[in-house]
Amino acid sequence: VNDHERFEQAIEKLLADRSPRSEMTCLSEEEQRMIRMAQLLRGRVRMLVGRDRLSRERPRG
Amino acid sequence: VIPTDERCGIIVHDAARSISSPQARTIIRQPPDLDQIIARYVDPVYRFLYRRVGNRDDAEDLTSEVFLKATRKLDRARAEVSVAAWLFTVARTVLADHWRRYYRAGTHVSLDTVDLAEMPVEFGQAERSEQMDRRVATLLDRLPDRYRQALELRFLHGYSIQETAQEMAITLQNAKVLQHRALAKALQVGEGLS
Repeated sequence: VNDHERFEQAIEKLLADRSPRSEMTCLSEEEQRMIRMAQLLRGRVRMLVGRDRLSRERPRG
Repeated sequence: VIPTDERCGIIVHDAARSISSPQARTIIRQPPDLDQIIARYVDPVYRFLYRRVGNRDDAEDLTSEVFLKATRKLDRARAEVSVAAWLFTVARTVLADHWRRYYRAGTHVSLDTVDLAEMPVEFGQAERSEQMDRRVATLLDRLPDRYRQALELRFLHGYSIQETAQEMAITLQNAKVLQHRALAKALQVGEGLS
């Protein structure tokens, strides 16, 4: 698993509501900041919208 | 103390019910009781942490850590409003320790400001967390359309990378590149908002 795959794994874990921290040591500082930005976006969105609504409101078509 | 085998999600669920009851609100002017403190604050503390870590695993672990640390040194003589402020101070410390433990120094993100106004509104604090939400909305608005769309599909609507690629009519590899660039751009734009 290379560093880029670690980055993607961290994102996927985050989107699965799991901690990405085990991937952090393999990432550059810039990538860590990007993960933190993703965490903020995810955290804000989840608090705003709520998990159940999120799953129902996927725009399709 | 939060039992180690009890998930905070369950506690939050129960706490949310009790917080909304009139009885729970009357404890503000009474000496703090440990069970009442946990019931009263576990939900706001969990939300405070979740907003920053963006996942349940970390939010639950950190919430447990906050209450374990807090209850060890709880001064029952404190007025409850003081307990609230103290709990959020502990939460900020626990969060800072978490960033230091798992992330390199300097991985601060400009939007990740600590907002004391996220304390419960009953204690006279204006609910200014909406300001942070607006800043995130502003950040997304300032991104190029394709970047914003990629981040919204992924982090707002929970699309998989494959679904994002399909929705945006691009290859899987391009979707990954777009996501990477969009997050990098969001960091850059976020700096301008701080």
